[in-house]
Parts: sequence; C-alpha cells; structure tokens
Amino acid sequence: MSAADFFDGESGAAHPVEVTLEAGHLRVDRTDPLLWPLAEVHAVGDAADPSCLSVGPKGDAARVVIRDEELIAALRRVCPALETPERGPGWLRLLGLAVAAGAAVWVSVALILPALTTRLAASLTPEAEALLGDVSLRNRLAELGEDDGTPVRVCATPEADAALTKLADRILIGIDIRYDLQFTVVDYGGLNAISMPGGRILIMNGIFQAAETAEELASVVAHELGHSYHRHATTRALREAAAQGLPELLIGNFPGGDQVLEVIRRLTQARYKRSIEIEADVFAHERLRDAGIPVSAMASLFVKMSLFEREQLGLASHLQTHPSFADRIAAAEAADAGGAPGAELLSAAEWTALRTVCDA
Amino acid sequence: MVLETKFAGSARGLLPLAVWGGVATVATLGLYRCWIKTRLRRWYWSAIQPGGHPLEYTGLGGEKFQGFLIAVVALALYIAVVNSVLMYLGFAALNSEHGGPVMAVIAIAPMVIYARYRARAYLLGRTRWRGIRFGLEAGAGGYVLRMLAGILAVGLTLGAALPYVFWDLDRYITERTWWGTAQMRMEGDWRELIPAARYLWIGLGALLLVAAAALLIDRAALFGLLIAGPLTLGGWAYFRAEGFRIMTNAKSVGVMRLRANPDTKAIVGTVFVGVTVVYGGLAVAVTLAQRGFDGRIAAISYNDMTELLVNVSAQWAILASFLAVMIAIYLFWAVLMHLVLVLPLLRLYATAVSIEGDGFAAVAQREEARFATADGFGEALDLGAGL
Repeated sequence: MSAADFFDGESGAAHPVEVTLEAGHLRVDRTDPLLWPLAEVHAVGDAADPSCLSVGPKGDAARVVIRDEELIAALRRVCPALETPERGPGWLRLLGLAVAAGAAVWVSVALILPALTTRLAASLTPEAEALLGDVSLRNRLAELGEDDGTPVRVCATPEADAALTKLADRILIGIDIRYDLQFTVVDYGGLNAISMPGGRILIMNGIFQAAETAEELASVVAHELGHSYHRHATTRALREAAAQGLPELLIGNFPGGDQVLEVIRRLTQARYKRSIEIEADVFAHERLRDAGIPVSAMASLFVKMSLFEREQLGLASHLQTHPSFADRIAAAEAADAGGAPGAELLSAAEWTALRTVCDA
Repeated sequence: MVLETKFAGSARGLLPLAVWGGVATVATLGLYRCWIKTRLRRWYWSAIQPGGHPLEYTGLGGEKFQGFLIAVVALALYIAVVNSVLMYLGFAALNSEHGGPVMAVIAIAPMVIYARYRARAYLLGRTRWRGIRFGLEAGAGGYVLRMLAGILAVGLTLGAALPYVFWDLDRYITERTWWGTAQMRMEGDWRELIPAARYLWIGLGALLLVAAAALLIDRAALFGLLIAGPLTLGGWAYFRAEGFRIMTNAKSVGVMRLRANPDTKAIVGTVFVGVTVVYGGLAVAVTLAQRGFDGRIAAISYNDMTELLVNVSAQWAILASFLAVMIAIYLFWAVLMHLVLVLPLLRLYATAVSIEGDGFAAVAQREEARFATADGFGEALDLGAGL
C-alpha cells in the first residue's frame, strides 16, 4: 500500500489516496474503491522523472500520481501495456497519404509549374521581357567580371553589329521573333553564348575565334535565337523563382538541409536545361536549312567545342546542363539537307569585323 | 496555498532520447521526426511538475505525420499556382525580379501565423495536468490580423512598438486559453513591458547604426556587428525573460493567480552560451567541412578532375563522405540543441512559475478536441518551433 494523489479526470481537485497492487488490478482506495485491471493501466511514456509515475485506465483522463519507487518498479513489471502508445491513424492510411503527398509535389513540380509558367511567360509583353533581359544581362556581365577579378570588357563596333544583324535576319527569314534583338559581345575567351529574356544575346569573343566560317558562327546564333524564340530564359526565370519554397516543404529546416536542397535544385535545373538545349538545336536546324546554310557547320563547330569538354558520366552526368556533344553532333548531321549552299552569308570584310571586334 | 513548480529532468536522462531522435531522424530521411518530437515533448512535459504533479503530453506521432502529409498536399498545389502567378505579376507589373519573391513571402505569411495558432491549439489540446485538459478556443483569424498589424507596427517604428505588440498578442492567446472549464485572464497594462525592452532597443539601435555606417561611410563598419549582434541577442533574451515575469504575474486561471520570478541573469547567460555553442558551433563545423571539401576539390589537378567526371565509383565515394560529414554535424547539433539550450531554458522558466490560491475543485474537465491536421501545417511551413 502506498500513498498517492488521485485525480478523477472530472475535476482538478487532488485526492490523497492509498493505492495497492493486487492480483490482476491496481486498487485505488476511496469511499468507492476503484479497481483498474493491470492490462489497462496506462502511462504516456518517456517520463523524465524516474521517481514519479502518472497512470490511469487506458483512454481515460483519471490519474494517480505515484511517487513510491517500489510500486513504480512493480507496475513496470506487471502491467503488460503500461507504455504502449495510444493508437493513432493506421499505417495504411498514412501510407496512402504519403503517396498522395508525393503525387501532389510531383504534379506541382512536373505538371503545374511548367504548364503555368510557360503560358504566363508567353503572355508577358516583349517590353516587360526586355526589361528582365536587361537585368539578367547586367547580372551576367557582373558575374563574368567577378570570375576574372576585373570588369569584363564589352566589345562593340558598328561593323560587327551590322554583321550580326545581317546573320540574324538571314536566319529569321519568315519568322517573327517579337523582340528588338540586341547582341552584346564580351572580351572573354570562353566558347559560349547566352540567351537572355527579351532577345538579349551575350556572345563571348572565344566563339568568334573558334568558328572557322561564317556558317559555323551562324549555327551558334541560330541556336541562341531558338532560345529567344521559345522564351526559354523568361520561362526559366519564372519557373525557378516560382519553385522556391516547394522542396523546403518536404525537407524542413535542419542543418545540412540547405545542401540537400541545393543538390535537388541543381538536378532539376540541369534536367530542364538539357531539354531546352535540344529544343534550341532543333530550331537552329530548321532555320539554317531554310536559310540555305549547311547544318553540318553546326556539327563541325560542336566537334571543336567538344575538344574542350569531356562528357560526364555517372552521378556527374545528372548535373550536366547540356546534352552530350556526341548526340548534338549526330542530330546536326542528320538534319543536314546536303543541298547546295545558298548565297554568301557574310562578306570577307564583315567576317573580319566580327573576328577583330575585341582587338581595338 | 502556493504551488511551486519542480523540474525533474536531467541532461543525463535526456541524452539517450536526444541521440536516438537524431539517429532515427537521419535514418528515416526525416520521416520519423513527428514521432521523435512527440517523445521529446512527452519527456519535457513530464519533467514540469507544478505542485509536484507532472504535465502529461498525449499527442501522437501518427496524427502529427498525418497532419503534415495533408499540409504537404495542400501547400504543394497552393505554392505552385500562387508562386507562379506572383512571380509573373512581379515581372509583368513591377518589372522587377525581386517583386515576386517579396509578394510570395507576404502571401505565405498569414498561413504561417495561422499555422502557429493551430499548432498552439493542438499542443494545449494534448496537454493535461491533474487529469484536466488544456484548450485554446478558436480565434486564429483574429490572431493572424493582429500579428500582421503588429509586425507592420514593429517594422515602421523600428522596434518601438514591441512592448505593445508582445503584450497584445500574449493577451490574445492567454484569454482564449482554458484549463478545463477555467478560462485564463490577463490584467494590467502593456506599458509595464517598456522597461524590459531597454537593452533590446539599445541593441537594435546599435544594429541600425552599423547598417547606416556600412551603407553611407565604409563597409568595414560591418565589424560593428560583432558588438551590435551580441548586444541585440542579450537584449532579446532579457526582454523575453523579463516579459515572461511581467506578463505571467498578470495572469490568472479561475481564482488562481500565476506568479513568475525567473532568474533573468541566468536566462540571458544560458541563451548566450547556448546560442554560441549550438549556432556558432554549427557555423564553424559547416564552414570547416565546406572548406575541407572545396579545398580538396580545388587541389585536384585538371587531368584528375576530368578523370573524376567519368569515374563513377569515385563520385559515389565523394558523395558518401560528404553526406557522412553532414550527418555527423547534424547529430551533434541536434543533441547539443537540447542539452545546452532547450533543457536549461525550460528548467529556468518552469521553476520560476508558481500558482497561488486553491480553486482546483471548481475546475471541471473539458471535452477532448479533435485535430484533423494536428500541427501539420506548422511542421510543413517549418516554424522551427522545437517546443
């Protein structure tokens, strides 16, 4: 027999009582004694205080708070379900909800976001896109400068600009690009060109040096115009901004979570980028063919570019933002109509103006 | 009659549960965290014993997880649609790349506050003392409006409105809180909180000065954060501790009055040590790990790097070691968080409270509340509310 405090679960008053462990039940002595079957004596578990146990019949708010360590030890021995948790929702229900949650995230990321952002991007006015493009261009130029430590130099001559415009006009025969195209050439050795919202296209001088013919250069310009035509940069900016907060829902905020989120973000971005690169290539194939420019020029430029990069395999391939050069070369060659080239693309003077635009 | 509160939990008792919690959370990719939260809360609640009778936490991990999953379904769809439209409006109407994200935060803020209130209601609805349940009555909508107005007021007045806003929000929740059939009351005046905010205001003033100097004079002024930061943290801890004392003394439940006399110095000290160890330690560990990896990767020669890009097993080895380091850091962090911050602070606050008067017999039971989503929206919106 031990002294304990009894709470009847109906009022907050404390009643000093004697509790006794008897065969098959716990006896709580009151004027009207309570007999709780041991199989139903329950505590919530994970008690911090080993010298205190609060128990009651399962599913009932009535409690005795026991401080007799011997009785506590005895109850732990003889009550079969003392700290068995109360039943929450069943496993099947939780599994079903987990599947629903996964599906909802998938639908959001893979269906709603792309469909919605593509449509929304298409309804932006060219002027709004151009403003966005100007912001992106400024940011890109700043980034390139940071890589080098010195501000990146923009190269511009009226002759070079005219030559690029001439190339673009030839490629875009019969196509409404919607934008006032604006080419920006930077004194940078990389073999890259970047399409930004609103028809802003950044070209690195390295491309002019690597291209051996105006046709090869045209293939790069056609590819970038493909991005502009399909509004890839605008859609991507919308998508990436809109997707913020989605992965955080699942992962929550704990140390290391940021790194995990970054990996997820890069993986999904890389996948999307690979798909838009292919779309831009296809656009370039068609435009080049229609303009009477051999698509094989694209293949030969890719061969040169591929010498500077190695295909990534395994995990790294998932982070790759471009499709493999082998695939792109094969696609360009397959798209080559093989017909006779059309009229001359650029005059010798125009070609030289482009090659020397950064020499001044 | 005065009931003092005893705190019967020790770091040694908590350690196994905290370690197991960290390991199980990592091992299940975070899925188990609802159950771990439940077990930790049960432990903490059982340690708090006003008048020698422990609080009991009757929440269930399963119901939390269910609520979390429901919240994910709702929020995933909501965020995809609302964010897309807001980003579009940011681009189209504001011609700004920042407009959309700012609007997205504003759009989600009411939901976060709503979820906070619901999480509080769930916590109280699953807490018992002396066999009697607590409860928080409906009122989340009003809470959202008050909190939004409060945040705006604090921002516009550069913190001057803090005492009023804190008092107002605390009173809003207090007067909707019930223990059984006894409603809590809060009397007194918000102006009592003004002296408690003095160090916080000094800290905020220092922060503003540093920011202004950095913007207008020289970026080197940012080193002033080394003083202004700790000053603000200390001021905040002081404000919370003194605010707790002042506001608790203004509260009553039925005919019983609450009294609080927290050891403010000890609380400020604990916050300093705890935050330094837990967050400072975390920052140092993550930086060292990051540097270690970046340094190793930078040291790889061009040839080896191109080799690495095609070497699948080496890539897996790098990924695995990176994850192992991150998991180790997380485990240390999760355990330290409880041992040096949550446990000591809870002990200091709990033991400060006493209850005067004897009206227990007049308090009757309240019905058990149902919570379809438990604190799931809070969990998904990541309130970071460990307790």
